[in-house]
Amino acid sequence: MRAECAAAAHRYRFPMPRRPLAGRTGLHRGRGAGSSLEFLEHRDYVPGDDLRRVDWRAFARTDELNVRLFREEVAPRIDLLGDESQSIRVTPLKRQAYHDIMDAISHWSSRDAGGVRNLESLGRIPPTPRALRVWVSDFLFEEDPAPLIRRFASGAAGICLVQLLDPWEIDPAREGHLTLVDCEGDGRLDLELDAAAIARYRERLARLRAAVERAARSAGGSYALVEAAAPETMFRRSLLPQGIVEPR
Amino acid sequence: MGFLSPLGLLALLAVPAIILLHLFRRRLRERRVAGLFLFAADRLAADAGRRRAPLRSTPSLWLESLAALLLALAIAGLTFGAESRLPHLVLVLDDSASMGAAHGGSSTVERAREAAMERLEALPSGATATVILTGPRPAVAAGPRAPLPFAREAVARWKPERPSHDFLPALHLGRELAADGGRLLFLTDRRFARCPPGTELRAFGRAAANAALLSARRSGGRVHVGLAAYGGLPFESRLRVRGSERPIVLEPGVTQSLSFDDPAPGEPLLLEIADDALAIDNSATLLPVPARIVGFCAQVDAETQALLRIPQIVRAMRDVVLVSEGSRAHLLLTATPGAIEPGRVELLLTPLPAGGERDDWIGPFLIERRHPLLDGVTLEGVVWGAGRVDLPGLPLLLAGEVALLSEEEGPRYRLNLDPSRTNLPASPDWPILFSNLCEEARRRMPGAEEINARLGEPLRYRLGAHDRADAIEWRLPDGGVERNRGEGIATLDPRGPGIHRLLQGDRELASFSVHFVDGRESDLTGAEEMGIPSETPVRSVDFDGGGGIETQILALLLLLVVVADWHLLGRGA
Repeated sequence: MRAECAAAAHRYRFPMPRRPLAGRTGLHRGRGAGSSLEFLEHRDYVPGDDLRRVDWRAFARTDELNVRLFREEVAPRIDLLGDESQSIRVTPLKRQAYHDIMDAISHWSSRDAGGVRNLESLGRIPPTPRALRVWVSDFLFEEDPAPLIRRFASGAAGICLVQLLDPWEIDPAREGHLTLVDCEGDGRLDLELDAAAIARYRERLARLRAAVERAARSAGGSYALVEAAAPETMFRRSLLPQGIVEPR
Repeated sequence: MGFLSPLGLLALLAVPAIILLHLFRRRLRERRVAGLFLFAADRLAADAGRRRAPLRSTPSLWLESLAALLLALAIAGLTFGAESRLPHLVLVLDDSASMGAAHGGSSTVERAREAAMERLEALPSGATATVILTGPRPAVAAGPRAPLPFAREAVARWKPERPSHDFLPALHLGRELAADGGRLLFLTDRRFARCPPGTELRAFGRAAANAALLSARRSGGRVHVGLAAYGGLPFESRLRVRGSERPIVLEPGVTQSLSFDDPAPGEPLLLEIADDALAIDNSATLLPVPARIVGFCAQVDAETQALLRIPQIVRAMRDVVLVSEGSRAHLLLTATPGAIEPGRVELLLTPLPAGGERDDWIGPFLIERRHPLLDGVTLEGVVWGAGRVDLPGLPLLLAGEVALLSEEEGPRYRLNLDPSRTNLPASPDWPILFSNLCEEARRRMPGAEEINARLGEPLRYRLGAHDRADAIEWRLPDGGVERNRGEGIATLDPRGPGIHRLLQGDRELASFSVHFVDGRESDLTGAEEMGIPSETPVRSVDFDGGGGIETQILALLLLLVVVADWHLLGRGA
């Protein structure tokens, strides 16, 4: 991680979701019983239980062996799904911003949670059950994103979608006649990029953003649109207002 | 800086073509994007034709335009300061009619043309030539320093029909144009001893006997023909007039005159003699000459008219009638000056001084003989009584310091004459003077001055008050059209014999017949085939055939530019 990004990431941290998480023993309350000091419930003793957990006082009163169960404390695991396509590298600025965000999330995960696991792509590595899943992409694909996002959210303790776009992709300028070349294929498109065409593009982009955000919200997750910029700018202007990060 | 082939500059048209292609090109500026599908609905319709886009100043545009410019310069044969290195041939072509003589198979002009073409063909590409036609005013038919195709075209068009003239003006012009090291070649039909230094002369004539019409005129119901033959022996020929032939025998060097009744008054008359070595002098068409009646009005008292013998003189004059109204007169004799009307000649008898101061002059008289009014006037034995007055205007006739006749604008001629104290009306000079006045008035009448003209004389038509000079054009015998350039008078210097028509729109104003009459051109006895090489050696020319260093540099630059453009386009793709 480059120094500028590290300096910016140092000022923020990744908030953990309220839903119970899975993970190694750590600082965050897990969804199962554990060895933390927070009492959870009693249950009947079964052979093999830790004798230190037997509630001897209750045995004195009731002659029944009960075991005190305490809240499990876990360090949440984070699955990070990036974007390996050419579209995320379509401009130098967007490529750099992508690396900054990925590095920062990895940093926060390592520092504040139980580690991060990079999912190379959706489906190739099975995601960790009940982990917090973060997906950084531009989500510029033609098919409906909702099924993909539902699949991504399946079994997760929570999801977080970061849609990273280049400034030109958010607000293209009027450039007259252009040939647009698909960065991931042979597609070419001649068009006159005038005010009307830009307006129509913005409308279609807004629909796409809304679909991604709606899918994220319906899975109980969070969503942020990030305009590629310097790390501090992206964290403060885009991730912070959406609750993706919080001041440390 | 110069161009070996200026026509190559037409390749510069490629520059606007390139700009046009860039205006409508579909190869637009490219941008790589991730969400191409978001723009798909705005795709430019392919079947709507190409649309003009704002011209963008791209390196490709500039490089391609530069390539077109370099290519045009290379094709045009750009040279820097190399004009003097290039061969320059100045051809002076004898444009006199004797060049048209045909004797022994081919004509003189054909042989000369062939020689001229050979000389032009022998020049290396990139050389230039100038073609000058001789004449009273030399004409540059190609050039100066024209590309060889233009010179060849001018030589091919060469059709010598001019009357005899001096070659020196054309040769001097050619010498000036060849002063940059060029070669001066004079093509004619006979020896010409006065060639300027440095002239190469080649003559292609062949001596031949020839008969010619030397004059042709119809007037007063008669036709007058002058004939002559040139050669060593009596020449037998035939004169054809409207289908009838009469044999004639012409003695060499003797002009024979024939006069006969006009067989077809009011109709064109073709006079022909038998074919011989020179065809142009064998025929003449005489058009019927319309009468140009001069109206004369004498606004002087009867005594003065009697003293001046006006009735007798008018009766003696052909095509002159007396009119009573001054407004209808073309020639007005008056004693009281009035407003001068344009187109009317006025003879004003100057009032004598009241005191009776006058002189009787018996000479010597100072006569302005160059003036047409005094043509033939001698005043021998004339006693001229004149008053002591100062005549305004330009004096034409003086006795001592007293002006007897002067000219003013109009024209108005002032006559200082006491009819009662002169014998002028009884002398031969008075009808001559009166006749000259009538001719002056006739010349100023609207219409053609000379219907049947000799080649070399200008055709003149005086426009009437209702004629529009800008709508008048000459229709030439070869079908060509020449716009009138005169105001008031339409004039034309005919280039060849034949019928010349003057038209105003679709209306024919007049027809002129031009025939060739020139004994010096008809005399072919001096023609010969010979050559005189140039006394001045032609400067050695180190000519590289047009592929000079300039062309190589242009080719190299062109290659660089094309490669750069190809690289740019490849990178853009």
